[in-house]
Amino acid sequence: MAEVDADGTIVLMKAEGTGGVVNTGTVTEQLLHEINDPRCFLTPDVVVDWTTIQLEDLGGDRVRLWGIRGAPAPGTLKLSITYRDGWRTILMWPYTWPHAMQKAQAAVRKIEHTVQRLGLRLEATRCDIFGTGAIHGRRLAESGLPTPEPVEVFVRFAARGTRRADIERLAAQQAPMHKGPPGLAGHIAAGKGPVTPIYSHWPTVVPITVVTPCVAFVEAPEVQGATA
Amino acid sequence: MTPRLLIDIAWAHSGDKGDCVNLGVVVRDPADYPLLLRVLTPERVLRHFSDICRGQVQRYELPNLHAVNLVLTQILDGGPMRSLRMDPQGKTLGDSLLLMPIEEAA
Repeated sequence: MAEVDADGTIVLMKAEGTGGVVNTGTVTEQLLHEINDPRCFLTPDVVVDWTTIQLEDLGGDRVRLWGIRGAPAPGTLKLSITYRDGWRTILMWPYTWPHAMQKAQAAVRKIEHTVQRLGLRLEATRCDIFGTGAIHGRRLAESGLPTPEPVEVFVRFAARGTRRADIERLAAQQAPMHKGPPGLAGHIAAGKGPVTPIYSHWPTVVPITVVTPCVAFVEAPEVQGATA
Repeated sequence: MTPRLLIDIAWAHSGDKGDCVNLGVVVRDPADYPLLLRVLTPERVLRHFSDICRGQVQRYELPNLHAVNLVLTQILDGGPMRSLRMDPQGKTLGDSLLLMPIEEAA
């Protein structure tokens, strides 16, 4: 919730007993959420200069924002475009102690060999062993933090391509891994991996002149079981 | 105690836009802001992510928030919708940044 003064001063707050915290730390973090150049944050009404915002912790989950400067509205509107971009599947296999890593590495070799053997035409593939620092990658080693051998790992094989039949065929390779390294601890959801269409995202801006605002009131059918 | 990793002096928040991510980095103690600026040069950040970032690093300073905003391009394998990464939205990249060793002569 926000109280907004005529001079642009804002006090952010929250309803009592709803969990969460409003302080300069959480407000700072939200101000940094998915921004580009902080000196010109685009909105349809005004261009805001984030570097002019002053924060003051008032206590009791209240933060005052003041001194905020900006520029007149931009000549553009933000636009999110999505477009069809092929198919994707993600297969996962869990392995446990003992020798979880060796089992996982054997599974990786097996699925990579299978892709070759079937002659699947894929645009891109990626293999990770989750539980071994696969997300942070070499940055973990460079930090010097200890990375003990995991007792449980997931092998994850992801692929995308323009040919649905090839992605479907790959997705069917989840269950056959039971004939792979020993100790496969079941499947995530089913024996076949999910095949999903990819709708790629193209965020951009367009001149405001190409957009004509139009408001339509449409009567909705009554929803069964809905209560006020 | 001498800070060893970036996490010792800062926290970070990351998010995506298409094939770009932004990493908002905030120092815990405003006195460490000059150190943050010395450590987090665009060149150093690009080197930290050189295995996954195919684009560039732009740094914006927000001294009023004791923060910097880092924008990295071409880092999500084409963006969240088509990425094969385990973290397609790059939500962990802020934490990955906090693993950066602070290499500075005392």
